[in-house]
Amino acid sequence: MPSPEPFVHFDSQPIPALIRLQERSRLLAILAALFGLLLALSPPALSEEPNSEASAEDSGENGFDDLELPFGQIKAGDAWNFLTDNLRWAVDFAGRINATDNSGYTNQEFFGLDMHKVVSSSNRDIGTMLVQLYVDYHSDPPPGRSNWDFKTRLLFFNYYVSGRGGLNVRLGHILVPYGLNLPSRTPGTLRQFDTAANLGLKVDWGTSVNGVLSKFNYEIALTRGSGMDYESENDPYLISGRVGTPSHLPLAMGISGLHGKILKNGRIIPRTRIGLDWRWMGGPVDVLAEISIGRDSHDKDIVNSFIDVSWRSPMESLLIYAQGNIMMNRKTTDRYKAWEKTSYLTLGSQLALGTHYWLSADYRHEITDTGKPDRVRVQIRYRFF
Amino acid sequence: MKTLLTLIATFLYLLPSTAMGQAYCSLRDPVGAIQSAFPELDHYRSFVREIRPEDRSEILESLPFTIHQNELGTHTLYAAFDPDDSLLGIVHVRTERGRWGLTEIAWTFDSELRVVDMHFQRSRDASRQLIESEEFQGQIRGKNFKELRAMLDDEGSHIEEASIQVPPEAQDLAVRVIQSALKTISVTETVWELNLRGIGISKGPS
Repeated sequence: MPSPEPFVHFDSQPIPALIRLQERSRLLAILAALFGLLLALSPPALSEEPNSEASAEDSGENGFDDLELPFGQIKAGDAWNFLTDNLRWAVDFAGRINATDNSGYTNQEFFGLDMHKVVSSSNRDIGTMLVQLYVDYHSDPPPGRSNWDFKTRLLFFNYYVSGRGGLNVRLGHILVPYGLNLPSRTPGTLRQFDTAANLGLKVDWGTSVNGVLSKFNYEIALTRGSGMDYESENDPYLISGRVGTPSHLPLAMGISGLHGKILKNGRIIPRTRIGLDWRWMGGPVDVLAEISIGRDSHDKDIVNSFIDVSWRSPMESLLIYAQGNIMMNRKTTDRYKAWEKTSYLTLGSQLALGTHYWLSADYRHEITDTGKPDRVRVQIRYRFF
Repeated sequence: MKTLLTLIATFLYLLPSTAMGQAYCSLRDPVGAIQSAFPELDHYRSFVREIRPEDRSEILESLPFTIHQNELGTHTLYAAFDPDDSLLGIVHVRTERGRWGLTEIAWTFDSELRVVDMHFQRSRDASRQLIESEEFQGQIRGKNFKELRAMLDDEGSHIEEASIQVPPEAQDLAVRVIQSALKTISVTETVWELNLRGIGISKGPS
């Protein structure tokens, strides 16, 4: 097994790694500055009784002086409360073993921090900050990455332009609003939908407008097109969006679109998709489905479809699911030829052991005959919060 | 063999726990429920608080049934305001065990902690429509803790038919919904008491 290596390899890939680091650092600095500005411009969080004895007694004990700001004052005793008010955080660890029938085992470990902070004034939420930063180790990493890697899974601020929730602006590293990728259900789990296989990315750097209205919800995004890492080489970009019916109803549907140039493994891929998704829950099973049509690289027609059928125990401590997906493509010049198909069947389960541990396993088998090996994965996950 | 049996016993002991540790990106505000309950809504404010074991003891004193350890943890109360910053009411989402998985209910209360509205955020129960019908909703709307408590028997496990009319096929879900309302009021009063006072809500008649 290769020995652990530093997160960024200046020796082996000096220039690209440095560029990536600089771009990421710049973005992080911008986001930190934005968040800091929002904190600074917000009046103090008066979640407790403003004149309570406890507030008076605590004032000044945490080393902050009173801060006079354009839209309010943060009193010495409220500064710490302001930072910790409406804050959730968790430490998230996972270990994963992957085995394919044509090679040996590989293993991955994830070490992460998950933070969720609602920034509020005395009687109004201003926005939500989400931070998911992870370090992961891969015993046999794909080309272009090292054993150890730093990942910004999600990092965004969603600013509530209208207090009713109808118009918000999200900025940062966000989920691509397309099909079953929204709302997020599968972070850090083996159970995944077909977003990565269909679009080539699940998350991207950029901005979106989003909101919830009485009859539908929506999110429309303009993003970099480079996925996990911010990279601008060859000017990738992505416009994506989804409009759907309310997700709390037993049957919810959505229509999505995506167009742009995606940077994947150093190559630019022009990509267009239009998709429909359905989510139905009505008794023992949930059914999620998505179908997309589109084009890659101007010369390849695409039809991708996906279905996920799941059952869960009354307390949802046990989840069992079966997934099928069919990916079809053909040259646009070969309209009368048969589609090239690849399809998979995946069976998986997820078991909660207490409130902090999850044990998951899945098995994937290719139904078509393109030579993809069967794959088994097992994961144990621990979240401390 | 003894080790294996110990492992199996441990496994079975741990199994009933609910899967409550989802990543925070899956958190969603019940915006639709808040908008629907308060058409004049202009903005809302979240209050995130932790329900601790000592809160559970206090909550249990007011309830005829137990609440699970897994219902502790961090939860959010939402206060809704009109354009003049006047309080319209509060919204609290509780998760209950369902026949086919967890049921999430968004409860809306007025400043006297009386029921304004309820919305299923997630339910796979076939009786959902009967509970969402105006016939049932009309019977719980405007009710406070005492009036809701009177809709259940002494053990809090069956419908008191003199107090509320529910079709037989929806009685199981109706009991869970009324239990949820009682639990939500009690939890809100116990854990968010300071926040309630801060926004002008005094403790209701428990």
